[in-house]
Amino acid sequence: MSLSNALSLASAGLAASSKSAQVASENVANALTEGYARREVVRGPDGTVTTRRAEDVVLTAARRQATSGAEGARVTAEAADRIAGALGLPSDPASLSGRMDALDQALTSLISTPESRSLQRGAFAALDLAVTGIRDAASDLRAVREDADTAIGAMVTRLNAAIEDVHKLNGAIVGKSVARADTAALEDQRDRLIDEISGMIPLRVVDREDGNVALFSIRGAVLLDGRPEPFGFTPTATILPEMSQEGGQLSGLTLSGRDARIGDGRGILGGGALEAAFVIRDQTVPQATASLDAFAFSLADRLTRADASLAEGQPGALLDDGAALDPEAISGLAGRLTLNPALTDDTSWRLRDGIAAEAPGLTGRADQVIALRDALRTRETLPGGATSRDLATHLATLSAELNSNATRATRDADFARAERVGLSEQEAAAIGVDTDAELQALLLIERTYQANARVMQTVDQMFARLMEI
Amino acid sequence: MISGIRSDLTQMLALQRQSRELSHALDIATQELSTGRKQDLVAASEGNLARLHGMDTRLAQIASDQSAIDLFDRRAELADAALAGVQEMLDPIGTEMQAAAINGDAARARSLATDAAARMEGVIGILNSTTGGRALFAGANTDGPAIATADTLMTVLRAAIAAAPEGEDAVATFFADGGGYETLIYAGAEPGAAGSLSTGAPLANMPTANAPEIRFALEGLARAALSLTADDPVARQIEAGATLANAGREVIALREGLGADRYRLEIMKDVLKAEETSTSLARASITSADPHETAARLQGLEAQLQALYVVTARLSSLSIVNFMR
Repeated sequence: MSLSNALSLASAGLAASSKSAQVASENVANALTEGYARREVVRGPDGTVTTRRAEDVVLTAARRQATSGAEGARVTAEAADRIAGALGLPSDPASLSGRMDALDQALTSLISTPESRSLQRGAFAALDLAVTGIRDAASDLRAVREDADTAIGAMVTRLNAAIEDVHKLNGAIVGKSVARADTAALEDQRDRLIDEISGMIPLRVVDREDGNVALFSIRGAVLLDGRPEPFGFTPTATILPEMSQEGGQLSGLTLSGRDARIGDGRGILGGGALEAAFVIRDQTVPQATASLDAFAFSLADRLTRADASLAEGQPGALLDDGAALDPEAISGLAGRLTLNPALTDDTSWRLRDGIAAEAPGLTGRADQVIALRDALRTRETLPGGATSRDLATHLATLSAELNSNATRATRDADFARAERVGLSEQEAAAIGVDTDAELQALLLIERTYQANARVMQTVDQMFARLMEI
Repeated sequence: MISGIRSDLTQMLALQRQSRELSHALDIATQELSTGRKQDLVAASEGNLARLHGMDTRLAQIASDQSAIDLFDRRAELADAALAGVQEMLDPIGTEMQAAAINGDAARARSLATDAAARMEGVIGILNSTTGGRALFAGANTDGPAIATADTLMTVLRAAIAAAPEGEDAVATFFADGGGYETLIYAGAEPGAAGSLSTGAPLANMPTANAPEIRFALEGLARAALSLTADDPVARQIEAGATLANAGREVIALREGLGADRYRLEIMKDVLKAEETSTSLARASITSADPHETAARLQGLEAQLQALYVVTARLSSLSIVNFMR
């Protein structure tokens, strides 16, 4: 071995040491950066030094799958919470149930003193509050549905952009890796994009040659393999309760121009936040709305039947957008329910004398009020329902069901989140930065550097000795 | 966490998550301690919100029933006091007039009849009394008054007698069901339905000035007044005295009926009170948070959070960096 050879080896060692120190410092600097994978120094057989990202393919895939589940559960839980909130907790006086109870009480008070102007107005106000409550609940439900539709639109836009970006990064990574340049930063970026996509659709990431990746949904749809497959969706700004995807008024999802079935638990794109949003739009909210509509119809129908002043077919106290009720068109009724214009604060005596009464009747006659109150208390089935209950219990049962749905969805979301957090922590432990380990490595690097420097010094001295000869 | 492998990020995330979870639990415990109510009613009722709401509804109905009974009771009390007044007006005068007329004390009988005629005004005044703007004896026509004035009554009655065929007891016809009194003098209405309690027990109606008992009393007073101008005052006064004496007993019967209704509803009220207590207790056992239990939980959480802070501080000083200086 010649002296100059030893000198160049020592110099390569110095370079390797400083490269390692640089990697260690980069790791320490990013110790708390989420999504940063630890860099490791790889020494080539020819003494060259390259870096590599730490990875744990199994944990990352498991964490991504857990992310899909957690995101889907979160979206579901948020919507379930809002749906339950639309009707409120039955024990809360401001809830719809509370308002129906207040109506019953106001009518009961009016029965004892039917001539009282203030009790008549109180009963009218209670009925008005109940109707407003039903309409507000319907509009809250509608907002949940519209928000789900908007969210789908935003997710689809984001999906297309993210898949396109992954595609571009694929290209850049291939270019760099051919040039043997450092691709770790680009891979970090690509991983973050893939994480984002997997929140919406559960993914399978397949490595192709030269650092390329291909993206498939877990259930087999191709999202990116050489070229990105575009998603298509058209958001609808105003969604009426009677509009549906089957009816053609709402947009479905397309992938590469073909209809992609989603939202029934079996579609190839299911399992993440995207499917959850479709389920909310196409199932959860329409079901809750239908129940509320049935309740609204029953309320209006009971009040109409109890009103002795009305002729057959004449509209009662509550109207469907100003017109008489139509038992064939219950869909969306809750949002259109209005008070009969004949019934106002000034004419609240009509609660005592009947909606069609021309003028106030006997001041102390409570028969009509008794009929109204007893109509609310009678056990009947709702349209499309099977169980006979009084109206307040029908409503309480509905909101209890929605509330327990919300509780269950929240619990599911909590479990899913805990699972994701656990896997994230495991993943971070496996591929994250341990500053203790880095500093330990740094101590070694320091020693190596000193040793190499010493070798150079010694070789230099040997050269000097040679020159003295 | 997999042992043996660690990273700074994991440690930070784990500590953050643990302290967040503990703080949240601490918030809930603090609120429950200060309000005495459980925060999560869904969990407290084991998901059975409908049952909780059933209790709320029942409590509200009991409150409505109680106030309906109270209202009835107040009105019945006033009506009873008014009827007691009517009874007092009738009581001694009938038998005394009857006795005086039979014993031939014409002057005494006449003065008693004059007195009776004057008392008609008082009785009608009582029957037209109102409470809180509500006519007591006018049935569903709460605006009142229940009856026309005594003068009108006598004028209409005299006209009816004049128009009546010979030999008919025009006074009895006038005060009978569907007679002139009911159609021309009584200004109230039939009582409307009184409604019922939530248990289905009926509430009772107040008597009206059209009740047979009241009509009978007015008939006695009218007969006494008519006797003053009659051809055979003594015979008429004996008749009027008998009617008045009976009328006194009839009014007592009316008061008894009212008292029985009041008693029945008083018992209902006790039953409702007992049900209210048991329902409230059942509801409280679901929704209220036991202060001792909550306080213990709060203390436990506090200690846990403090321990976590200590661990956080220790862990952050446990780094090679601190030993490389």
